[in-house]
Order: sequence, then C-alpha cells, then structure tokens
Amino acid sequence: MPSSNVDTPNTDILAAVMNAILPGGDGFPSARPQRFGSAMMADAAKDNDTEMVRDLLSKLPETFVALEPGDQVAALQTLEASETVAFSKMIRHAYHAYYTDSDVRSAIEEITGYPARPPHFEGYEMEPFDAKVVAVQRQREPFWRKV
Amino acid sequence: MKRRTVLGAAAGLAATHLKYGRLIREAAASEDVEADVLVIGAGASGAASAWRLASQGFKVVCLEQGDWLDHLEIPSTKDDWELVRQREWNPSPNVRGLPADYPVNDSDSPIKALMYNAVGGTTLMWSCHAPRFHPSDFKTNSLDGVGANWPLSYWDLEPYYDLNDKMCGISGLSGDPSNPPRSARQRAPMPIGKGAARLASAMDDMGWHWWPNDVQALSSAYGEETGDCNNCGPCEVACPVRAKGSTDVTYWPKALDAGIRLITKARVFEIETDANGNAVGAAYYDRNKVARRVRAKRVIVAANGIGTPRLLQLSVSKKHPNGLANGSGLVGRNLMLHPIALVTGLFDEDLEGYKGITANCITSQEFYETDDSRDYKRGYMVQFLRSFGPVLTSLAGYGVPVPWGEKHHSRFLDVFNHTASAGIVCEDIADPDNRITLDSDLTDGDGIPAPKMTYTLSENSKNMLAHGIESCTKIMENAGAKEVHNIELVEQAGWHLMGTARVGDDPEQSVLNKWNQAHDVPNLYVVDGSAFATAAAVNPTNTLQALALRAADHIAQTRGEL
Ligand SMILES: Cc1cc2nc3c(=O)[nH]c(=O)nc-3n(C[C@H](O)[C@H](O)[C@H](O)COP(=O)(O)OP(=O)(O)OC[C@H]3O[C@@H](n4cnc5c(N)ncnc54)[C@H](O)[C@@H]3O)c2cc1C
Repeated sequence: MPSSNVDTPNTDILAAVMNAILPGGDGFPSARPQRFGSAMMADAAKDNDTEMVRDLLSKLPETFVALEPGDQVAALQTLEASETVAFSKMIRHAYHAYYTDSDVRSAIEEITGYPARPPHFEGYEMEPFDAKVVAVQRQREPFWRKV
Repeated sequence: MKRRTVLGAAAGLAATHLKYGRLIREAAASEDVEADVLVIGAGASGAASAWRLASQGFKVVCLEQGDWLDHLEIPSTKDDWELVRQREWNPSPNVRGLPADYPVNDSDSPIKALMYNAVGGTTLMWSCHAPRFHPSDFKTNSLDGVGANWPLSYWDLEPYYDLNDKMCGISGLSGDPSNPPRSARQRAPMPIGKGAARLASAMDDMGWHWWPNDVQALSSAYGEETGDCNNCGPCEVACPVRAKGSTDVTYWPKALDAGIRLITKARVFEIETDANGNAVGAAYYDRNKVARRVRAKRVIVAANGIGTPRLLQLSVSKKHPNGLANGSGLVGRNLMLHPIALVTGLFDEDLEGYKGITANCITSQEFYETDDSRDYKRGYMVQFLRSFGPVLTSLAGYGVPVPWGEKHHSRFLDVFNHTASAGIVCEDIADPDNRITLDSDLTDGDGIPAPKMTYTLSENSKNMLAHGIESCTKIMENAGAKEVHNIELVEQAGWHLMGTARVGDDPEQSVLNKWNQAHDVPNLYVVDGSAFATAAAVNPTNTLQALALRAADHIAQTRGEL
C-alpha cells in the first residue's frame, strides 16, 4: 500500500532510496548519509522537480525503509517501470548529487587517478604530439576529389 | 612551478580584463549613431568582417544582443562544472533562457537548435575544430546531381582561409592527403592522447584515412593576450586561459584597436530600408530597452543561420513585403544541419579520456565523397571524441549505460575513462521544406517574434548515418573495444546552422550573390552560415569566417559604388 505522508520526503525514505540507487562498494561511499538526499532534493529544485520527486517517493510502499535490500530494489524497479520519465529524472538528480560530493570525488581520484578538482585552471599534462604517428598516413597519395 | 605558471597567467588575465572593462564601458553608451558599415552580431563571422573593414579605415559599428563574457567566471573552474553545463551553460538557448537569448521553437525538428549569444557568439561554446570545405563541396550539383553549386570555388576562398588561420592561429599539421595542400599551421598539433592513438592505429591497419585536426585552440600561445592550451577538456564551457579561438579573444581585441564601435546588449528588431528598398541601418533595443537606431551605408548581417533569417523576415516593408532580400522566397528555407550519430567503444585500457579537448583530436575523411555503390549521395566525416567527466559518464553521455543499484559502481569504473567515441558528421542536402519561420506565438524578452525551426531528416541522411555507424563500429572493433554502443541520431546537435539565405548566381534560386551581397538589396550582406549553398561534411566556422573576410574585402573594393 502506498505511503501517504510524504509531503517533504521523509529523510529515512530518501536515505534508503539513495542507498539503493548508489549503495557504495568498489571503493565508493554509499549515498545513504543525509547530505546526499538533501543534495539530490536541492538539485531537483533547480529544475522545478521537487514535487515530482516527492510524488514519486510517495508511490513507494509504506514499509520501504524496513524492506530487505533486494525488496527495496524490486520496489524501485516497479516504480521505474510505471513512472519511467520521472524516475529517470530522479536518477539524474541523484547522480548529480553523488558525483559532485567531495568524498565521492576523492574516492574517484584514489581509484582512477582522475583529480578531484575542476578542469581549470591547472588542466592536465599530456605527451606532446609526436609526428611519427602519421607515418602510415603520410605514405598515402592525396585522394581529395579534384575539381 | 606549475602553481606559479597558473598564478602568473591569472595575473595577466586580470590585466586583460581591466582593459576590456574599460572598453565595455565605452561600448555601453547608447545613442543613435552613424557608420559606414553596420555589422549585426559579434560572433564568428561578425567579428571577422568587422575587423577586416575597420582595419581598412571604415567606420564600423557592431550591434550585439549579448554582453562580454568574463572568462574567469566560467563553470570549468568550479566543482559543479558538469552540472552548470547542463543548465546555465547549456548550448540550447531554450534551456539557458538568459536575457541575451531568444527562444527557438524547435519542437518540429528531431535536431535541436544550439547557439550562444554574447560577444564572441557561439564561438564561446565551440569545440574549435576548424577544418576547411573540400573543393567538391562547392560543386555538388555538377558532380553528384544533388544540392546547389556555389557561385564561387574553393580556390576563391583559399586566401581567406589562410588569412583566417593567420588571424586566429591554428594548431595542426599540413600534409593531410584527404585535403588540398595548405600552408604550415601556426602551432604544433594538439596532443593526441591514448584513445585517439589507439583508434588511429586501427585505421592505419584498415588502410583508412585519419589525420590530426586543425584546431583553433593554441598548443602554445599565439599573439598577445592568448595562453597555452592546458588540455583541460571541455572547450564548450569557454576557456579561462584564452587558448581557445573564441572571437572575443581572436578578432575583437584587434577590431577594437582598429576603432570599431561595439554596442553590446543591443538587440536588433528591424533592418530599416529607404523608399528604394535599400538598407539604411537598423533599429534596436538598447540595454535599457529604449529603441534606438544606427544609420549606415552598408549593413552586414551576421546573426547566424537562425538569427539572420529571423531578422530578415522581421524586416518587412512596402518594397520587401515578404521580408528583406526575400524576392526569391528562399529566406529561411534550405536550412541545413549536420545530422550526427555517435559510436562509442568501451576498452579495457584506461584511455585517460578527460585529458585533452573532448570533441577535438583526430578525424577521418575516408568516406567524404560520393560512392555510387552506396545508397546515399555525398558523405561524412568522422570526428573522434574523448570522454566525459564523472557526472556525464554516469548519465551515459556517450551512450554507454551505467545502471543504478548494486552494479553501479563497478560499471562506472569499467566505463569512466575507458571509452572513445566517433561522431559521424553527415553532409545535409538542402531541402526547401527545412526552414526557419517566425513563430506565431513565441517571443523573446523584448516581445520580438521568435524563430520556429521545421526540419525533417532525409532518407539520404538516414542511409548515410547507418553507413557511418557500421564503419565506425568496425573501427572500434578493430581497435579492440569490448563493447560498442551507438546513438543513431544525436538530438542536441543543431550547432551548425546553414543555408537559410544561400548564395547563388540565379536570383530566383538564391538570396545572395557570390560576394554574399543580397540580390535584391545591394548594400546588404549576409556573412554567417546562412549563406552556405551546401553544408559539406565538416564543421562550418572556418568557412563562414573566410566568407566574411572575403565579403568585407568586396565592400572595401567597391567602397565608391554606393
Ligand atoms: C557546443 C558547440 C560546439 C561547436 N563546435 C564547433 C566546432 O568545433 N567547429 C565549428 O566549426 N563550429 C562549431 N560550432 C558552431 C560554431 O560555433 C558556429 O558555426 C559559429 O559560431 C557561427 O558563427 P556565426 O557568426 O554564424 O554566428 P554566432 O557565432 O552564433 O554569432 C551570432 C551573434 O549574433 C548575435 N545576434 C543574433 N541576433 C541578433 C539580433 N537580433 N541583434 C543583435 N545581435 C544578434 C548573437 O547574440 C550572436 O552573438 C559549435 C557550436 C556549439 C553550440
């Protein structure tokens, strides 16, 4: 039975949903801590999607928080199937929140070497162009269409 | 050492910005003014033509609806840069909705309109790929029986390509066998990076063409107040180190030094004409929304492939009841875009795809020309792409899905920095039904009717896209991709806006003559992508800037005639 009392999304539900979407592992933190849910709602607000997310979450079973992880995922999959557009928007907001979080960005740096900073001003070091790479192409006769 | 360089660069930039601050204030004064030449639009083509004329002693005024951009205040300096580029820095004016923008009703087009409105125009967002058209692109009707012939040839334009390259600085490599020879490039090619090197080697093995791109971004600084490209990646969110060829960096400083008057936050709503139907200037709303006027002997429209037909259609008079220069009825028609498909390979190797200009490394022109054994005419270019940052990777930006839930993190790690993509950039054959008109309801912030874009993807384009997907899949497979994904048609790809006031010899079949001069209004010129008779299969900006320089020279050569 759907829950009825989610006008501001219940923080427990929000935390459980965020955790089910982004459970952590492989060196990444879970998105369960409250700041992720808040950041997701803040991101949704920028696109005027607050109501939409509230609405979506209110369609989850009332017992969602207490469900086993597998059952939570199943409930979210059911929701995704019936509310495809809204659900994908919520996922977008969740990813926005998650991948701009400083702990997550540090985790990415640690695992992949991608620096936890914006591209500017430092940019990135690259090997300069090496003319040897075009050796094969240089052997080709000009083939542009003569007019 | 690195830190010192960065801070040093920032100090230099602050000085530059002070200088521009002064210029901006000067430019802001608004009253009715007179000029030899009025240029409408301060983007790629407007800047080039304005500089060329001002440097030959013309009194030039330019009206631009946007303002100067502060390059130190752009998203790629901030942690949420990947979010901002989807909102305030979205290339769609409909999403951005800034005061300088006008909306475009693109609901009747599978490809959406993209542009930027400010000093520098859409070059503030461009990826700086600056190829040239091929000689065949100017004669597609004679050669292949499709499209229209241009009334000028590649060779007429070649000196202006050279001039544009010299003015802006090109990082690249001469000797490309797929194109006519060209002079040594101003700067060394950009670094290729791991992903492109891998694809290049696969194409070498397949016997297919590829070459490092000609890029209007600087592998090392070129001229005053420019910087070295630091391989940061997203050129589309502007460039705080001034290494990218946006015209606020390339042409405008020189144009202002040559004495041009650039009036910003000035939105033109009508090109005015006299009783004979000749252009006499333009009326615009200034930054305080007061209607003003510039009087000029000649008018150059450089408002892009959507803004220009909009303005011509808005400029109705007794002599021009269907809009200015529209005796042929072709203003707004023959809109050409470059339909684009995307093929992405997923590799085991970490390709470090965040390093280097995202959308600009190498291209293949193997399939550029018509081949009668295929089910389409003309051809496509393959522009190879690097990869996105974490947010857009998780959102499957290049078409590789990353599911939510338990498998999210391991899949993210498989994908992030492990992709290389191929953008299939198709030549679009002109169709008069693809067009820009004035929307009956939608208006901009000044109440001026907004443009409506009507566009249908042709069978020729569909077949070409399919062929491109097939050939790029082969490239990815030969390069060792473990998965290949594709997007059959990229929706947010209306960045090349062409054909809506095309050149031609016949005034019934074209809007402009070979000098970009309106057949019906000899003192009116259109120099942006609207002028193109064909779209070619390469990015248009280098060509429209070359055309703008050439048109300016024509005005200079005929200065006594009007
Ligand atoms: C994300 C992105 C990437 C791109 N990458 C490339 C690339 O790699 N290579 C390439 O060749 N091209 C690229 N392009 C396209 C390129 O930016 C354009 O081809 C080029 O800027 C067009 O130049 P233009 O002079 O026709 O118009 P614009 O540069 O769009 O300038 C037109 C100017 O006119 C002004 N204007 C319009 N109407 C009015 C009015 N009524 N009154 C006053 N001012 C007005 C606008 O504000 C604007 O500043 C890209 C575009 C985008 C969006």
